[in-house]
Amino acid sequence: MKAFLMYPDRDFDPERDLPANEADLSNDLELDVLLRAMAADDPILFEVARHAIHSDLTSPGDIVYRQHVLADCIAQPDVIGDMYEVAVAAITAEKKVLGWIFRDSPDTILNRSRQVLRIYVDMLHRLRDIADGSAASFRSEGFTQFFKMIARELDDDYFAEMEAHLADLAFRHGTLISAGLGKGLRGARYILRRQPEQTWRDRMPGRSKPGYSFVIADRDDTGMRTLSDLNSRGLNAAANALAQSADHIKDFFQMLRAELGFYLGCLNLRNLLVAKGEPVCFPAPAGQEGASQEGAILSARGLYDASLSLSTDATGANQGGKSTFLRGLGLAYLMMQAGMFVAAESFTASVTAGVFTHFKREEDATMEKGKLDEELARMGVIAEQVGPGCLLLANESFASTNEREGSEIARQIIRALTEARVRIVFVTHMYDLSSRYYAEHDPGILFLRAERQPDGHRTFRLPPGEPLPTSYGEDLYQEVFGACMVKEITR
Amino acid sequence: MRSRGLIAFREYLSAYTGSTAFTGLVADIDAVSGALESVRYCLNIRGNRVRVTRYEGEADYGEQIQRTFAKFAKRAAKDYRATFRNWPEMNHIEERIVDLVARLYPDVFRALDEFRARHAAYLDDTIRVFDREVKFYAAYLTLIAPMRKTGLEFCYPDVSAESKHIGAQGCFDLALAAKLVSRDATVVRNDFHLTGPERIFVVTGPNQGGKTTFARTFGQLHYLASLGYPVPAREATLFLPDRVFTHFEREEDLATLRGKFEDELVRIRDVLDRATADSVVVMNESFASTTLRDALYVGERVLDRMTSMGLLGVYVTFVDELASLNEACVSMVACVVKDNPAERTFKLVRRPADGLAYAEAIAGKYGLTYRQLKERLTA
Repeated sequence: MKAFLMYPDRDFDPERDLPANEADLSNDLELDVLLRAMAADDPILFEVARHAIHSDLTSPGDIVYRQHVLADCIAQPDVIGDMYEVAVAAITAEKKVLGWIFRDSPDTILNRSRQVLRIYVDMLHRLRDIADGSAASFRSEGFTQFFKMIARELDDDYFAEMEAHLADLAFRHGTLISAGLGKGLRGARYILRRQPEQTWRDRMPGRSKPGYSFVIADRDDTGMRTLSDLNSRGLNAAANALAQSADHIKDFFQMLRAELGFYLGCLNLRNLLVAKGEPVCFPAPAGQEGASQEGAILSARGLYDASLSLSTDATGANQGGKSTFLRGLGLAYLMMQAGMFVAAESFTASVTAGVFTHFKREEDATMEKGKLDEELARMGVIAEQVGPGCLLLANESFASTNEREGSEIARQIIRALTEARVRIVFVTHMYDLSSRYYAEHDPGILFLRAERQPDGHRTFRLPPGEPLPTSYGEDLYQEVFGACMVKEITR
Repeated sequence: MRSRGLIAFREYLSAYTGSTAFTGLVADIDAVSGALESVRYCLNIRGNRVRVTRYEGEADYGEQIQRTFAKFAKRAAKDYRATFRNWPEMNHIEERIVDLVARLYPDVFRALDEFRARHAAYLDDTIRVFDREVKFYAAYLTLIAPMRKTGLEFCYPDVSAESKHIGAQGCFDLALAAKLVSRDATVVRNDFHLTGPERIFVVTGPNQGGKTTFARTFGQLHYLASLGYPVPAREATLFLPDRVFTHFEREEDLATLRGKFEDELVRIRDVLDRATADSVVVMNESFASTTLRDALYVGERVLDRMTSMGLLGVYVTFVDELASLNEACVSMVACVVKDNPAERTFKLVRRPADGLAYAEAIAGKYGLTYRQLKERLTA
């Protein structure tokens, strides 16, 4: 049984390994601010969001699939909340039953599993009831399939079958265990058998099948222990099957919680942004296929850095600069390729094969290497992972050494990466680097320049413009005049 | 098959298996065990009451549970099965159950009684002895099979009870190889030979360089050869010793209340008292617990006694001077990689001992030679 709310054809795995550059992305794009807004203090929602934000969907079809599910959630937030609560109730109810002690005896395992299953069956029933009541008002392919699946798999007959097990597993007529003869004629291959249903006719004297009985004497403790040991051997496989079944149903609820949790997180984030009056929109993803022919598409209106907006009172349009632009862009790609809305008025872009960030670090945490060493080492790691169709966001890279050296290193790296069809957004104040590219008139490069009014005030906008040499030596670093280049691949 | 022992046993076996004693036994075993295996019974356990019946096709409940909930399964599940200890003997409850099973299946158990009466003395004496003796060969072949698979060669050595002109090509330590092969690591093989008056290898070189391994190999080759086993070497010419003695460095034995050095001296005295000209003596890092002066002094004397007896041996030591004590001693050195003294080749070569050269090289790698250290201290 699969929910298929995240992918049309597979489960969402909230325990999947995160991409190798997750720590850098999280650090450079301030992902935690966004994820905390999605989580709303629920650590499980946080983990779900943390994995979902790195979904890296590359098929526009898969992206739109989630967008439609999310649109349903926006329209019916209460139903989503109810189903999420059922999943959480099932998962936490398990803890109310006595703690799981590994190496328990089979009868303890069987008993506990039976109690847990009792709760699960009730929760499955609640899920069925919600589906029966709400299925008609959902439009997306994802939810339509989901509710159909619930109606099909959890029909009345199935509930009757589960109830029968719960009743029989109380063993009101004792246990029935088959065995054969092993080495030394000792009993072997003990297997629990289901007692055939007895009719009144079966209970008549002389009708029951032939057999011999004995009773263990009251004070025969060894005898009772042996009997309990034989019983345990018999129950072993069935207890295992029952405990595994309970685990599997728990897995189902956990998967349901994770998949619904992602959309619940999206709703939380959306509520916060909308309450601030910020625009959000579903992006229009374009495939990668055309990218190699005519160049990748990137077009945005009113793009802002959602993390920055969430951590200040001001709105995204009235703050920021070059780094903020990089972060906003990076977030928009990740959110789009997670099937989320993005923080913009409109956003159209070709999907990337992966977002990478190379931001100047304030300080070297380890103090073991020089700053340039550290930068080069990080770039070395990126070089191992980056490939065609990827996006690299570089923020003041190689500014830790002198400009001549830094720009020469950057130039060689940029050249190699762009030839490998990596798209790059490079924020730099190294005039030696930007002016040389400007002189080449390469149509694959777009130059943006932080706008500054004649009185020196910034407008937080980055209109196209020619690089200018840095001449504000006395300004703080953030106010140093710089240039932003977008180099796109034309090959 | 060429061995006289095995050919004779084969003839015995074919006569035995053709006998009616054997064919009758086999037929009876098949019949009785087949019948016992077909017995299936059920226990209905309810409190302290047990009812034993024949098994009549009642459904496996574990399978039913699995089937009902299969739709939820999507990954391998944890195994909750308990493991049970088997008591060596049946107890009275199990006995009662089997008694009742016997009442449910009287024919099967009557046949078992008759079987026991007929075949109480079934075991043939020659076969019993063979079973015990063949293990000597089987155990060794089982041990070396995985090594052979990786290309390590074993050979039957040319053995002699007179000539001490011995040698081996591509030999290795069986104990180390067993460990390395299980980890897919490479086994380094060594060569050695003694000619003319040469009798004893004096082995020096860096720690972890293969000295102890060589000493063990030398002892093993002679010991295994005298057992009649193929030895771990591509080819080998070996002397058949009357005894193989070992003298390895040991943890201090508190019970003896003697110092380690004294303990070692007592042990080597015992060895030399019992050793003859035809013995092999393997000494590994003996007297390493004492001063260089003492180790040299004792070493010279022990080696002197060994060489005057004319026995064969290995003497692993950190005392370079012992390597050139007399014409019976051959110096073997554990090698390092030329440009990187920290790396070992585990190869041993005939070469004069050169402990100082190694010390200089390894110090240089860490900038700790005299000149380097002086420069750093004055900088």
